Amino acid sequence: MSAADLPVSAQRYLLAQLTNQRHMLCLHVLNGVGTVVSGDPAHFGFAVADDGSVVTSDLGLGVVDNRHGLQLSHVQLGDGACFDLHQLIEDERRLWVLVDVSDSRDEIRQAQQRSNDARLRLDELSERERLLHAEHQALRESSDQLRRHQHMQAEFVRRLSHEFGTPISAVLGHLNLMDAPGTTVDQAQRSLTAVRRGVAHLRQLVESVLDQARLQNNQFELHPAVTNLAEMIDDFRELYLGSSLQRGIAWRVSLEAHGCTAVLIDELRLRQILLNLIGNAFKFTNQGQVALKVRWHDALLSAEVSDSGPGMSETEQARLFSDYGRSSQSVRGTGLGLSISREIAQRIGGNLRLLESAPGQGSRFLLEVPAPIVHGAPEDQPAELVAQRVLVVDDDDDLRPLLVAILEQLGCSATAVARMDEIALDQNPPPDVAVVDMHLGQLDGSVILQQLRVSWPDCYLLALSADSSQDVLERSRRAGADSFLLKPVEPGALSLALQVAAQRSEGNA
Amino acid sequence: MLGDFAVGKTSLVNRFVNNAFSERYLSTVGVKIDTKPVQLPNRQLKLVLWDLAGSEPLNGAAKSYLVGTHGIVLVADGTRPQTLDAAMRIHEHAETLIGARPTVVLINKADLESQWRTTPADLHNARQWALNAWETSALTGAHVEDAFLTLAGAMP
Repeated sequence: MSAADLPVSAQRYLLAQLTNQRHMLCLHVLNGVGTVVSGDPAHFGFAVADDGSVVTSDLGLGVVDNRHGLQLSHVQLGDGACFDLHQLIEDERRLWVLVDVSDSRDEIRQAQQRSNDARLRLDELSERERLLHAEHQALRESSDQLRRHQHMQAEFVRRLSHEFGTPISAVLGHLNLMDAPGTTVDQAQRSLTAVRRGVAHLRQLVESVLDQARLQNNQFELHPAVTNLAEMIDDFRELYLGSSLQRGIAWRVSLEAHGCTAVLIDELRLRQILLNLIGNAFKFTNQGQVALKVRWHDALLSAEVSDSGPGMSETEQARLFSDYGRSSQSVRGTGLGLSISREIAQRIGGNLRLLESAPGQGSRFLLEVPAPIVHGAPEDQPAELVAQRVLVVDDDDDLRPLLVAILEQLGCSATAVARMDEIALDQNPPPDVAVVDMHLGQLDGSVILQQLRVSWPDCYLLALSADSSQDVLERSRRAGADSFLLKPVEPGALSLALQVAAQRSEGNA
Repeated sequence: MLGDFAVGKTSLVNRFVNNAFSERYLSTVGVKIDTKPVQLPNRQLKLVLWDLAGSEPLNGAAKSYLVGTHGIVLVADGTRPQTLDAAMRIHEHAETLIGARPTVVLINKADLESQWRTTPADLHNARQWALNAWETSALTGAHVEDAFLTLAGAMP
């Protein structure tokens, strides 16, 4: 069948479609039930299905029932042929005409591709602009943040200079005074008290700065131990009793422990947080009261510290827990206390927050930390300190005699050496206790501990260091130390360690 | 196969039908038709894939191309999030023309990890209304067959 066999209307249509560049690829004529009656069914996707109903299976047109004809432009098959497809309905017949459009397809594709490429480049440019804008924004924010941080650090250094300068001046001044000719014993005693106070303050400042550095550098370590709650609360009561009486401020302390006497927690850090909160409360309160309410229930320790001080505005509250977030009141301190306290509370697994505060209404803080109960903890009866023979190994010429003096005040018989070769390992009987500094110049104290552990198996070995990092603790333990003491040595802590040594000695006997 | 231009519709078909991939971008004009017989657990099916030139919105000839559609593979480019929005609009338009059809969503070019900008949430959202959605790669073939076979299984 050729085009001339088509009805006139179809011929006219085809003439309008075919030009110099467009020629008819093939013509298929289907009867009313969709069977190909003319044309090669194998061409261009036309095929007769077994039941004769599907005529254009590869084109997916078999199901189309379009009574008004169909036109599809630029149909490309897998073999690369590209045609416009026309379906004409004539006298119950369907005429399918495929017109070759390969040439125009290529032209259109080139134009379309240029347009798409341009849009892709535009998209890419927009994306780069967006990224640049985001980077610019981030840079501006970090620059602002850096500027704020630098300002705060400068303020911090200025404040620290003042904070350190004041007690150092006081200490030096009082020491000169004590040394001056004609100073009476009473004056010297007063100066000594002032020196002690100044040094204690300096120590607190140094600890704050060190704590902040440890927290920032992730070197902060916790050492949970059995802690007697009632004892700790009594200590706080006693500690601030004098201050409250002197200043006429009511000091209320309460403990609701629900039968719990001892808990497992890092006592040093818990005390540090509470001392910071109570210290602040007393620092800012001139009249009224300061209260500490401690409650233990279901492995959770909560401590509420409230005061009737000046309270804080919302602006002050917003920066309360930030580094150097000092309140506007002119008071002493690094301004790091609360931020460190909150950080420590979080490291313990708890939290510290401000419950309420308003100008003129006082403030109320709440500390909550996990504190598992310890069953069967020994009653903390102070053991009678039996006279013990103690050897001190420390290369610091100031600390060595100080330790000997403290030990003698505690009723011990103490000797001290600065080097390992000065230790008489053959003495018989050996000392009951040996206090060994972990940093002896070039020598690692753990070498001495190991030697002593071998030579004197029953001697109680007490490692000593200003460094409480896990590494030092572990080295001392592996070298055979029975316990660890942190510098600067508190007489109370040394006494406690000697009690434990005595109890162990009795146990062994 | 519906979606914005240059999202990889033709490459996905090429991967599925011929197990091949070409780096060269060749814009599709009109419609490209391929077939692929697939074996489903309970029947054999011949898929006729109509790969439509990418445009958003759908052009005037779209309705002619969409007549007879049994299922839709909706494709977006994971490195250009705007193509996902375009895909949604195209799908909505197609539904107004031919009614609802089983649909799978393919977020393509998953091999371009460093430039990837759509999120797992986008995939999750697409799964809320489509049969399923995948992050696909015509380059590696990742999830390409899963997508086509899932759609084939849902078609009459």
